[in-house]
Amino acid sequence: MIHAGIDVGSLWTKAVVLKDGAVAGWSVRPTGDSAREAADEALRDALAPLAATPGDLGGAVVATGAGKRAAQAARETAAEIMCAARGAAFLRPGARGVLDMGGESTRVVRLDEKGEILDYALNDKCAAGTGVFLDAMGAVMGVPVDRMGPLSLESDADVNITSMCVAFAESEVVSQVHRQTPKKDILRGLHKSIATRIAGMASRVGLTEGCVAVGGLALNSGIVWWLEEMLRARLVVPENPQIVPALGAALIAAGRGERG
Amino acid sequence: MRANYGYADGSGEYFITVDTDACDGCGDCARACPKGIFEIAPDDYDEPKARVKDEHAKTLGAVCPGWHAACAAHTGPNCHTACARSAIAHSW
Amino acid sequence: MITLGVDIGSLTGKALILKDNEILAWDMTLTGPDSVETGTAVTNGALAKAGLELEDMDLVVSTGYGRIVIPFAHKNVSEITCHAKGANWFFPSARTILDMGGQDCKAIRCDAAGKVTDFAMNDKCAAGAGRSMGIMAELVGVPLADLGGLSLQAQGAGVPISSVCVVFARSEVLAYLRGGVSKGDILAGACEALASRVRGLLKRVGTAPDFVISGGIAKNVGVVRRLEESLGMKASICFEPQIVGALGAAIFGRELLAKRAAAAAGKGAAR
Repeated sequence: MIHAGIDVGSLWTKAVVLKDGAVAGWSVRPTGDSAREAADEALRDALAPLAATPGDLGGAVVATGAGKRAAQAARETAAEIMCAARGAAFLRPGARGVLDMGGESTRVVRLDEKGEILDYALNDKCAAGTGVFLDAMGAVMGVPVDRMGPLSLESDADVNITSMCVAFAESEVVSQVHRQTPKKDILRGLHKSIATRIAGMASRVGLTEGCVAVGGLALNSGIVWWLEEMLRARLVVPENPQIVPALGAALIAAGRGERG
Repeated sequence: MRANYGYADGSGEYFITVDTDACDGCGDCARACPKGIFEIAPDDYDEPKARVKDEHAKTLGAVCPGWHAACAAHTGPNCHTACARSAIAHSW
Repeated sequence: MITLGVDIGSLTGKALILKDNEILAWDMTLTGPDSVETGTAVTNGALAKAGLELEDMDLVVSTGYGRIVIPFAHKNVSEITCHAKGANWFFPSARTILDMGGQDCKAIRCDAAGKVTDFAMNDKCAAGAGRSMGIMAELVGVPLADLGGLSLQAQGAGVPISSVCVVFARSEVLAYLRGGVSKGDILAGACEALASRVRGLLKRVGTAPDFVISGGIAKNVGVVRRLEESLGMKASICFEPQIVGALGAAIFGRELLAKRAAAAAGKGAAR
């Protein structure tokens, strides 16, 4: 039996296909101007390894993310928090928390030992601490986003970026660049600023050891490092963390299917 | 004078209010705060008063858990229990 | 008695010379990467206009963004105190002051003497500061100076911008532009969004007449008009809203000198 989950984010669309309860295919593509198209294409790409088409799914598709209603193949939708929790618990049974750090939103979820949601915090109203922050700074500094984390870890200087706000941080970065501050030092300060925002949410919800970090920002080693410093706890970063909510959606599709 | 330190952004309003008429500059709040948010500094009339440090005013929502019920859940005293003049209040 | 007030903001630096109770001269410049250089340059500008030297100043008071270190200042005073004093000088009946620059917004309540009784400042979020107007002007493609006026050309209240965050609001605005919404309508929505951030800050300190607006935002007729309507108070704006801080610093200096003179005279009499 195959099931699929589609996570239509503001910036990126992810799809995961499960066959008999195991991941059989997945894909990531930019959402761009048409969430509907992105969802379709992502699903097709994720089905490709099985040589299957959306028709073969028989509607066993659940969509999540900011653009969940644009996914035509999905008959049902699920909340992002549910999907992040399900996906994390599947990959790491017994995990007591999930940090879902996405392009334009951040979710922090506390779980019990069975993976049920106890508490959560959500920020989708302020760009501080989200992927947009990183993208904007990368553009200002001329550094590719996937290099930002590793570069930031090469620094041990204390360049303070005092703003969490994207717009103000941009100005601070511009003046640091003018002052010829080394890029890795500026990056270190930026990553600290992002992590401060996220760690604040995490400590309010009360996350402890062994939380799972998912979402696109979990790919950034600099952010993960700062978060571990500020939370004083290790984080678990699964392979391909950005598809974990989509995986959770697929699991929900499988669960609902079994219940008939 | 009621001094409101903090900010409002898309995610909410985070202000710590210090009543400087009540404050006597004793410094207990600065010592009690686990995050070191407060400092005692001379105001414009050269009297020592409690204030939120500049670098923390912009990250209040992320650094301070807010109303003392949340802070008291952590260990020990906090700015509310420490201040004998009830000069400190939180908006969240 | 001649005092000099220097106000270094995030976007502009101002210097003002007060002789007894009259503004002798003032100067304004863009803030460069070095605030001390900016302070020196703008001070020299004001001195030149007054035909005076720095030594002629009885006291120099500095204020501005962060703990500014101007080496030739005798005292550094908070921007809040200075804006209240400056507003009170222009409008003795001022009791509520809104000051907004590029990177911050201050709501101040003061008494009849211009002493601060309540204040709130937001310098964390660009949505509540002049920066948001700069971002909108660039997005829509109009000069910042024209933004306010254009916003008043809208049919009604303009279009709603639901995101508080200016970064998220970008995509809303781009969608409106693609959809052919008029610039006036979009800018009306932007001014309304900023006005609503300001109302939140003003609510925190409470409002009472008379209402004064200072800082760059006072030149944005779109935001000013909307605030006046919702507060039910006319906004008093002086001839150059951006010098209120520097003026207040110079006044603070004058009052400080007077206090010291009175204290010295008192000691003399006691002997």
